[in-house]
Amino acid sequence: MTSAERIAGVEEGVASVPILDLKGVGKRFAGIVALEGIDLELRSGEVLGLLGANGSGKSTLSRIIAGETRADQGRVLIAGRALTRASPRVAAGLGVVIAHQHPSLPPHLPVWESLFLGAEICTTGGFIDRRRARRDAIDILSWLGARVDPDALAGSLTAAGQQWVEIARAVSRKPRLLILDEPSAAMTGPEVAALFTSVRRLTAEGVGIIFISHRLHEVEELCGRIVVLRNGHHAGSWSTRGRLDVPRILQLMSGDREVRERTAPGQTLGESAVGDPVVGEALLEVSGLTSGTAVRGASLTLRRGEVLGIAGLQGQGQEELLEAIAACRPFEQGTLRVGGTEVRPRCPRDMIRRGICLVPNDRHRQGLFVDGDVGSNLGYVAVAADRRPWRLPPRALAAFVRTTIERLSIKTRGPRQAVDTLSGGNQQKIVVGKWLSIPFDVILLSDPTKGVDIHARTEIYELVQDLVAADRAAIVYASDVHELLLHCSRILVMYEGRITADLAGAAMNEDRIAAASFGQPAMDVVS
Amino acid sequence: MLIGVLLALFAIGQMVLPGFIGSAQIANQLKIAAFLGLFGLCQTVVIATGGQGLDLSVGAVATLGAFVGTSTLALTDGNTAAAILVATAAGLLAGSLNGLGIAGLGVPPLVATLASASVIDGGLVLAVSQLHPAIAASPALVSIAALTSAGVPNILIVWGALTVAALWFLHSFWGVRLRATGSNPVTAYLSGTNTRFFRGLAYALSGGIAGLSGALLTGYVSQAFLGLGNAYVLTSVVVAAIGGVALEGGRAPYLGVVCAAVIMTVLISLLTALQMAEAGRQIILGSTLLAFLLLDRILKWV
Repeated sequence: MTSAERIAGVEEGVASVPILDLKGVGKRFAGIVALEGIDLELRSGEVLGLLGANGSGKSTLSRIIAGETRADQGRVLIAGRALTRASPRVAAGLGVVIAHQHPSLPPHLPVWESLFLGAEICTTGGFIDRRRARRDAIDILSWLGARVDPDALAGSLTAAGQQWVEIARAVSRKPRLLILDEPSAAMTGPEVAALFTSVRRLTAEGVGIIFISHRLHEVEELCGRIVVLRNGHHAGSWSTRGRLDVPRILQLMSGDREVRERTAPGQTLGESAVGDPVVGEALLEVSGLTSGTAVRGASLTLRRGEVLGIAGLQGQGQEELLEAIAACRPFEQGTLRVGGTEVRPRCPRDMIRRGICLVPNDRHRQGLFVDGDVGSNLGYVAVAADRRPWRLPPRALAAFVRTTIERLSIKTRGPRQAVDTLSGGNQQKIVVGKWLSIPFDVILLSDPTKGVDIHARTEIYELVQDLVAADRAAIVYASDVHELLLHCSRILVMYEGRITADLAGAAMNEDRIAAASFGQPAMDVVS
Repeated sequence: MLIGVLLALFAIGQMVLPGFIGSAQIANQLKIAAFLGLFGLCQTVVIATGGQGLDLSVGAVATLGAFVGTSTLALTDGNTAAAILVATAAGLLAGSLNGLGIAGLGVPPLVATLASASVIDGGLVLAVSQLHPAIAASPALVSIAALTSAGVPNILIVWGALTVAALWFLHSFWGVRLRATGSNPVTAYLSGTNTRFFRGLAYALSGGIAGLSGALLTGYVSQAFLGLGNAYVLTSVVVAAIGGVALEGGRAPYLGVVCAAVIMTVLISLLTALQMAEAGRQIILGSTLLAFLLLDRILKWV
């Protein structure tokens, strides 16, 4: 409470007033309930975990609190003052700032400049004080422990780098209430640790924090209290005291649905749920692959029937490796053999014809036609691959769309529903599912579960297992090591653009992966 | 909605000017609309492939097609079919060069098509003054572009046939790929589309249609002259926008553009018939475009 009083000193007597006080908050979109009857209180210095499946209303709730959209019902009090209209500026004035999950940073501005966009530091003459802004940006980034070059262009950063900039931007506004919407989705172990340190320092200064994450072990570690949302309703809340009742949370999140997630903190990781795979001939042989500065001489072999995981810290070339194999970025040096014959990757179209397809990292920018509907997105790969392009789309295409919606249990009103109204998990299923319309041998998945809820995540991996069982092979890069341990039959670790470890069986565990992630040869590890 | 606006326009016309809806009147209007509609098709295809696509060279390419067509007529003893084919080919060639510059070299469409328009216009001035090409349209061309058979203007049949072809193209797998390129070039490319090819193809097609329309225009006005196609550069963009072609790419509702072409023509002729001065007409046309774009936005929000 003492720290809270220090902050509250700005306005006398507010120490007892919660930073955030919601009563009966509700919101509808086109008549469909997004939120209903939400009561919530948050005091300074508290970290509240907000949990829920995709589409449960977490984002809507945080957008209401941040003043980006207005609640239809109920009231929102911030430090005792009512937030009555949708204005992020007003909310920021009251001390609420949100760090979005998919930051939209202007790609051509340097990091330091985009940090202060909309809150520029000005000289007395009214010009932007560039020197001070840059210095302040460096201060904030180093305070956060973010390894981001302040002079880099925002567009050149990795997803994690952009997330750091977004968090730094939020922190620079000196919030009293900070909303972190899946800040760690693109981050790896050490980065998450740095983030948690910063969060703890902020709470020590009295900042209240709402933390949204799909990774339960993170919530368990960080949050003093959690609130679970389901279908826009408050499904439960309690203090965690460092332990989470995981099965109960999963049950709350899903309602009566069967809990199928196989992961749980405390489960012995490394004991992969995947049995010994029946491994066949080499489908893909990469040797000495170099692409730009990201991939520097990576080699790997993928065999039929394998799910090969790629682990490593964020930004070690994992995404770029997959993109280069799929010819989405230059394959500068090295050789690639597909089914034994050497291939020079030229363009994605060429590789798709050879049976190699990529589920790209950024589903909004690279995977979807956001202005299209479910049917046109699911059917597009078939359209692009058809060898008789003068035809009008045949009935078979519509049939494929319908069966795929069913097969992947994509929650949609039908093929005509606009794809941007679907939840992240269902969007991701479309991005994976569109490849089912053509024959292929290898599917490369780049962080396929980013921002996807637990159920959809499990379903996506089940689909990958199905595909591989049907005589294909997959390479998965995921930023969450636990996922890889659960679903892959073999794991490669990348460090600075090279493969530093090839782990299978008993050697496939978190310690070995962590060691290799820092570039240490596995032999040196004493575990 | 566009059809409603069209009917309302006819009703207003009939009220203020009795006899506005006569079959001869309407046939006449549709003749003019056909040319506007063809140039609107150029913009529809180009805008749909995205990348801030616009073809500002349609006017110059049409004039090129007109002169190439009439010259061919003089060379081949009035062979109209050959003239139309050669004019279309010339347009395709000019459009392909646009496409190469834009899709191959990454020149912004606005700059590339403006530059090629100016090169073609300048070249034509030079060529016409030095070579004195034949400029007369053949009787067959005049008949196609300006005459009617059984009350139906022949040009309307040509426009109808091209509309059917355009609708087929835009809805075939080719058309879906072309629109996908405009909707999200990254996703389209990663899903196995040759996005550069389609972006280039759009400009080539636009040039081809513009060249063809230029040849037909000579039939309508019975001779080729410099600046023949200039009036269509901006109006073609306007009808595409009113017709519902999203300027950010990905949508190509050509039937909407057809309606918009008729609406624009009727509106202009109504204003002319009311003896409104040029300045007043310009103001009303500009406001119409703004009103339609605003309406489109509002409908999207609701």
